[in-house]
Parts: sequence; C-alpha cells; structure tokens
Amino acid sequence: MSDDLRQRQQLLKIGTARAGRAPAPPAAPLDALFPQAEAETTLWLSLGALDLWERSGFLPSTGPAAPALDPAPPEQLRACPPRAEAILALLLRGVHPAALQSEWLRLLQRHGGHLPPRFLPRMLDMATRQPALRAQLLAVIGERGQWLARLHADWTWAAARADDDETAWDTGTAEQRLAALRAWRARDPQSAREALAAAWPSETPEQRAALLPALGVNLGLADETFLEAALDDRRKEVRTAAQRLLASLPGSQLGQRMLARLLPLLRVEMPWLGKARLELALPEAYGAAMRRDGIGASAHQGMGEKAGWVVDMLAAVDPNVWCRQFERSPRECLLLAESSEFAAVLVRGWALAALRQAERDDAAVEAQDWPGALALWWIGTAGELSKAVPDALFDLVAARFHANAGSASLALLDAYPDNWPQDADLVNLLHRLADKSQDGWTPALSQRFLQLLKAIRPGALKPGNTWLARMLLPAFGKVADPASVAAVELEWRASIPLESEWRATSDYFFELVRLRHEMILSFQEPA
Amino acid sequence: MTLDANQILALAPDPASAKAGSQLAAAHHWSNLGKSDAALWGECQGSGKTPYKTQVDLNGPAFKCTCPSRKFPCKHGIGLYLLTVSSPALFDTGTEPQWVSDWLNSRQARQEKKADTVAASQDPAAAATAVAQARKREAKREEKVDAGMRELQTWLHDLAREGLAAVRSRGQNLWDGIAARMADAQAAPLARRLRRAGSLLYQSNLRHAESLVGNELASIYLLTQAWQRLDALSPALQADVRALLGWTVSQDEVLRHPGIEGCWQVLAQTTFDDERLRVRATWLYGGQDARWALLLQYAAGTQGFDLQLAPGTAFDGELCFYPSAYPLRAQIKRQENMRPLSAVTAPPSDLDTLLDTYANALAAQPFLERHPVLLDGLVPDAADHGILRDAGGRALVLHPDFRHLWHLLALSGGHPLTVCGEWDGRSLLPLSVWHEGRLLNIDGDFA
Repeated sequence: MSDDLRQRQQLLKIGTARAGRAPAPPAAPLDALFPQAEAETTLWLSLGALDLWERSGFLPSTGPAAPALDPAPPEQLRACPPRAEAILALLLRGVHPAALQSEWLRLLQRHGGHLPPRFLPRMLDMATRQPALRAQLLAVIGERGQWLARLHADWTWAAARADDDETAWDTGTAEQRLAALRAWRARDPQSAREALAAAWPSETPEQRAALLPALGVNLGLADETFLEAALDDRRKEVRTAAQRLLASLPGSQLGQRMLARLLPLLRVEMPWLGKARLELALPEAYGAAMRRDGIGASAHQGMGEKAGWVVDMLAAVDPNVWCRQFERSPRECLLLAESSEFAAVLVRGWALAALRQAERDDAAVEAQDWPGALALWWIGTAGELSKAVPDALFDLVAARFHANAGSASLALLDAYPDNWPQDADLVNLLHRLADKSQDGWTPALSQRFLQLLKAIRPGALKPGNTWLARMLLPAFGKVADPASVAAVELEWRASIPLESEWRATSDYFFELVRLRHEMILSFQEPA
Repeated sequence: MTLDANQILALAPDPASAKAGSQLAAAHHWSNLGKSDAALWGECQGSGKTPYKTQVDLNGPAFKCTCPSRKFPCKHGIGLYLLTVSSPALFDTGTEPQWVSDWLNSRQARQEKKADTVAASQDPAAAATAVAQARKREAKREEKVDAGMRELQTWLHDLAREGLAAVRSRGQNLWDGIAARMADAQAAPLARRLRRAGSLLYQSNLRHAESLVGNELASIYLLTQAWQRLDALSPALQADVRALLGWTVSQDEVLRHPGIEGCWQVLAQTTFDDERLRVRATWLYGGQDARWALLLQYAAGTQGFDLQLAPGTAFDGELCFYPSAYPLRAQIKRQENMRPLSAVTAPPSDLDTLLDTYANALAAQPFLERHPVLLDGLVPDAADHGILRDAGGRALVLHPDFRHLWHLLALSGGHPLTVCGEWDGRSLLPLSVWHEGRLLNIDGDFA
C-alpha cells in the first residue's frame, strides 16, 4: 500500500472532523481528475481512485528470496490406482465407518503404493490427533509426505530422521523427548538405553517415570541391569514401571525370583478318583524383597491380601513356564486349576501374565497360546469363576483374531454353544471380536461367523428383538470377507421379510461389505 | 460420457443426499434398469407401492424422478448415476421407454426454445400498453434509486467526518440501518455489500479490516457517483452499473443475444453463502475467441442447483454473455457432448500478462468483482505459507480466505503448479489446480 493511500485510510479512521484538515487530491497524474469539492467527497473519491490505481498497477515484490527449499524427491513407492483414490475420497466424506479408512491404508501398503498428495494434509492431521494411526500412515506417506511433514510443526512425528531423534532428545520438550527416545529405541536399543542412563541422574522424578516405559520398545535382557537398579528408585511410579517391564521380560531375574517364591506354594494333587487339580498354599510372610519386586502393589478386587500377592507373583512369570513345569498345554493347565480352591487366583494371575507378554511389540507367536486358551476356557465356564479373566484379555484376543494363528480363532467360534444368543456375555464377545479386529477376516472365519449368525435369523420373523442384529452386523461388516458374504446374500435377503425391522440393518451390512469389496478390487486392477 | 463417483456425489445438494444416494447405488433397490447414449433410467422401490421412475440425461447431467422429494437432484437420481459407474453391466442398453424419451424430448424442445431468438408475437395495442407500463415502473424505480444514492452519499460523508474508529463502537445496527434503507431504495446488492462491510469491522481475526472496509466503501461511493453521471458512460458500462445496483437482466433476454460457440472447459467451481442464498460460481474457458466465462447459479435452502457442471470436464456449446463493459457473466444456451478434460488447452498466462490483462479489465470496468486467472509455474513458498512465487521469484500473496495452503504445498512438493483462481489486484484466491493430468477443484477434491 502506498503512503498516499495509507494516509487517507488513516484520515478515514479518525474522521475529517477530528483531523481538522482536508485531504489533498492525490498526486499527479490522478490530481487532474479531481474537482474542487468538500473534504468528504475528496476523501472518498481519492480512496476509490487510489485503490483502483494500485490494483491495476500492482507490482509483485521480488523480496528477499527465501532459502530455496529442495523439492521433494521422486516417489519410490507405486502410484495409488485411480479407482482406489476415488474410494478414499468417498470414505473421507465421513459417511462410512472410520475403520474403512484404516483398511484402505492397509490395502495401499500391501499394494506398495503411496498416498496421493492431496490427502496428505487431512491424513497427517488425523494421525496427529490419533497416534494409533501413525504407524499405518507412515508406511504410505512416501517421499512427498515426509517432505511435507518437515514443514509443519505438528507433523514432525512423520518426518523424524535419525539425527533428529538425538537433537530432540537433547533439547526437545518432555513429549518430544519421549517420542525421540521411543524412535531411538526402535532403531538402536542399546545406544538409546545408554543415552537414558547418562541423563538419568539429572532427570526429575516425573521425567524418569515418564521416560522409563520407552524401554518397552525392543526390550531385552541387556536392559535388565538398568531396570533392576530402577527397582530401588525413590519414586513409586518409576519402581512400578520397572517392575512391569521386568515382569514382561522372559528370563529376567525378577521372573526367576517370582518363580522361586511360587514353586513351594503350588502342588499338583492326583486323587484316586476324580480329576487332577492344582493346589495352592497361600504365602505367610511378606518382606521388603517382595515389595521391591512389586508384590502387593496393586489391589485385586474380591481377593484376600495374600491371594493378591500370589496373583502379582503369577503375573510376573512367563506363563509358558507353567506348561513346562506341569508338562501340560495352556488349556490343560487351566483345567488343572479349575477345580482348585483358588481357581480364580490362578486364572487371574496367568491371564495378567499372558497380557504382559502380549503387550510387547516383538511378542512371539507362542505368546498367543495363552490368551487363546483363556478365552476358550472362558466360553466354557459359567458363573463367578469366569470373572477371573480380566476384560483387557478379550481386547487382546480380538486385536489378533483376524490372524487365526494356529486356527485358535476358528476354535473359539467352534466353542460357541448353540444357545449363545441368550447369553449376553457371549454376544458381547462376538461383537468385540469383530469390532476390535485390526484386519479383515479370512474366508474360513467369515463363513464360520455367518454360520453362527444363522442362529439369530429366526428373530427376523418376530417384531422387536433387533438389537442382536444391530449390534453384530455393522461390526461384522467391517471385517467380513466380501466373497463369503456375497455367497449368502441372496439367501439372507430371501429369509428376511420386507417389512421386518431387520431390513435396514441387513441392508446396511450388505452395503458396507459391498463397498469394502469394491475397495479391495480397486487395488487389484492393473495400474 | 459419464462422471466418476466423486463428481457424481459432488452434484448432491447436501451431505445427507450424498449418503442416501450412495446407499441407493445397489442393484437390489432397482428394477428395469436401462441406458442409451443419451440417458439412464430405472425404477427404484421406495416406501410407497409404486416404484419411483428415475432418469438421468447424461448430456447435462440433468435429473428427473417421480419421488416427492424437493431436493434436487434427489437421492434416487444420485443413486442411479452411481450404480451405472459401479455396475454398468446391470443396465440393458436399448431404446428409451416412452416416459424417458418424452422427458428427453421436452428438454430438447426447451433448449430449442432457448435458442429461438424470435420474441413471441403480441397484439400491438397490448404490447404498447405493456411498454408504457414498464416505462412508468422503470421511471419510478430510477427515482427511488436516485433518492437512495443521495442518501447513501450523505451517510458516507457523515461517516468520513466522524471516522471509522468512532463509528465502530456503534455496532452492526448502524450498518443494518443503512442497508435497510438501500433495500427500500431497491438497491439490494448495495444493501448486502454494506451489511457485509459492517460485519468485517467486527471480525477479530481479520487483519487490516479497516482498510478493507475503507476500500469497499470507496468503491460503493464511486458507484453512487457513476449512477449520478450514468448518461456520460458507455452503454456497456451503464449495464454494469445498473446490474451492480440491482437491475436484473432476465435469462431469456440474455439468451436472445447471439452466443459464442465453441468448446468450453469447466476449470473451477466454488460454492458460497450470500446471506440466505447459496451461490455457485463456475469458471469456464474456451469458445472460438478463447475467453473466460462466469456462470453464477443461485439456490435457496436445501435445494440443489438446476444445472450441474463438474469441474474437470468440457462440452461443446454456445454461451450468451450478459451485457457488460468487460463481459464475463454468461448463460449456457446449448450444451452437448460433455467429456472429461484430458488437458487444459487454455494457455496459462505468466504473471506479466495477468497484470496487464487485469489493468485493462479494471480500466474497462472499474467495479469488477472477480477476475479469473490461470497461472503456471507457481511454487508455494516453504517459509511464508501465504505466498506463491513465480519462476522469477516474484511473490503473489494468497487471499486471506484461502484455507488450503497445506494442500497446495502437498501437491507441489516444491515443484511448479498450474493454478486457476481469482485475482483481485492484490491477492490470489486459488480455486483449482491442474495436477498430474487432471483438474483438482479445491471445493470438493481437497478433503
């Protein structure tokens, strides 16, 4: 804006009455256009004329050339097929369940493709708000995404470079340092631990408690000495974090100490008649060493203090140790515990141990044996005792259900009794298996689930009672194998009367599966 | 030609219709599906006993359905169109049934009527009376506007004496008051501009609000003066001034003028609210003499727009322009052979050409609101995200209303972009980007 125009803008702001002076006509050549007039007319006309004058004579500033940014390098990944791109645009309209966006990203990753650039800002924002999406997105943002993320303060998580981690660790905010440490652990666990150990004495207690869990990334026996020392930390949260980490580390000394405490308490009874059972003698004494290892740290609802100690001990021992100890499979171990006086204690302890093992990023395949066996046992167990299995275990089973490792998932569905629709807990579990699943189901699993669903179909003929369908079908629609569903679609539709309240739910279900089918196919067409 | 799913969904009047439409895009809802080169049709089972008859004229696209919905296009139309994209095999190719061909013929007839430039013959005596009455109405209106312009000048003089800063404390009522008087004087566009100018003052997030308001009021002041000296202006500029003060030119009248033939490319589209109306502005480029055209459409409430033009397509046809000293606004007289745009044939201009063109445009029509540009070789500045630079490093400031800086950066990746948008003499408002062989419209394609 020119000074001429600026002066007049200023005059308009304070008013000609207050300013006490009339604006002069603008400089040549515009002055020739101005008649003698009252001050206000001159002000308005000169404002208008100067505005036009400036807009028609605009000269772009060359300015100090900003430090030229290197353009983004060409993509290494394949392009996204056009139909798949169109489907993502459709999904982002927000009409369909968010789970479909995750599935789309997985399909793109399997395709070996990169996200079309126009979606990058939206997706990076989304994953900034929902860190759970980040790993999935990082695999597909490509060169362009990393280039872009470096320019935005909120997206640095997507632009992390090796040397960035160390800088962030030295100078970042608390949150950035934690992220940097985790990333560093993922890359080089040993040097990351050494960096943490070096900074450890000067960290505040809060910082120590916040940073320590980062060692859970790539946790190994090499970390044990450092963690053992942390068991003696003055801050309770630090001790708890160290206890949790050591308990999830197979072969740790903490685990050995727990096992040594437990072995004298456990005995397999083999009566002449009846089943073998596992008997437990509650521990008598409690000491500083037990407290140091985290025994008695947490409260266990509905259990005595001493029983709680045993749960804490069991939770810190790799559950596969018991298979070797009793020479039984996880399922057989559970049967052994079932008739014990302290069955709930044993089941709870094993379940917590199984959860801790599975929480580790690099959990081995056999870590899934116990969760599967526990879920299977739970289905066959009624009443009070079934409450011994903590809720989180089912999330774990659900998250891995799609993989059907060792046919465990199929076995779980096979274990469902015929009258399962009458048992709300069993219905809830089915819903959770579908809802929390992290990938699509195999045809075999989908077909078995469809078979189970047949049991609720007669409900379609009666009014009311639609909650089962409304609960199960939308969740199942997100994971079902489309071809398996398409195979039964006609038969299903024929069996549901037009005026049934089920109609809307089943229509929604088939639409959802159809869209997913289209999405899967869109990645298969030749690019 | 058919559109792709996203272009079809963009035709829906609101998100609910888009959702309902995509749910109807499944085979089991439909029967008697068919298609020809010109149209799609089908019967959709709704809640009633008789199925709705739905049809799409592919050359528009235009929609018709027997359902009672007031939304336009309705969900059935959207669903039918989507279905042909996802499962073309479901549609039997054949001749149109009676109910489809009737509709197509009536549309054809209407188009021909549009093209028919001969005014309906009238009884000479009745025509003379009608003309006399119209002249009387016109004289009365001019009187009202005269009075309104004088009043507005007085008001602006008072405002200049008192100063914007002092006036600010008097709140929006002051602006609503003068706007209401302009509405009484039958100068509705001025009423809207004054209300909007007032509200700018109270937007806390706006920088330089006072100078924006000052420039806008000055432009309005120039308009009042232009009105008072209307006879001294060229007839074309008179038409501009009258349009800016609220005189409308009927669609028929525009279509009576000879049009401009050629291939027209739909290069950008933006939809915004103007008080109670939704306005859709579509920029076209083409014709025999390679020129820009602006299509303005208005819709009230949840209604959709009657004519659907998808950005990134082109059609052969004839456009008639509204009279103006710098004609941009146009109506479509004839439109056929719609197809996706495979390349922008408009030569993108460089910055110098743009600035020259714009200066000439302002000289011809100083009240010009929107001016289209197609610029290539623009790179978003990585440090200052409000700036695009041309190949020579010269900076163009982005319009403060532009909300998609990060999308531009993502598309560019530091490489030059071709941007279509509007230039107001100070800043650039991008509306679409040509990227990897296709047009991305910012309204819609930038999720």
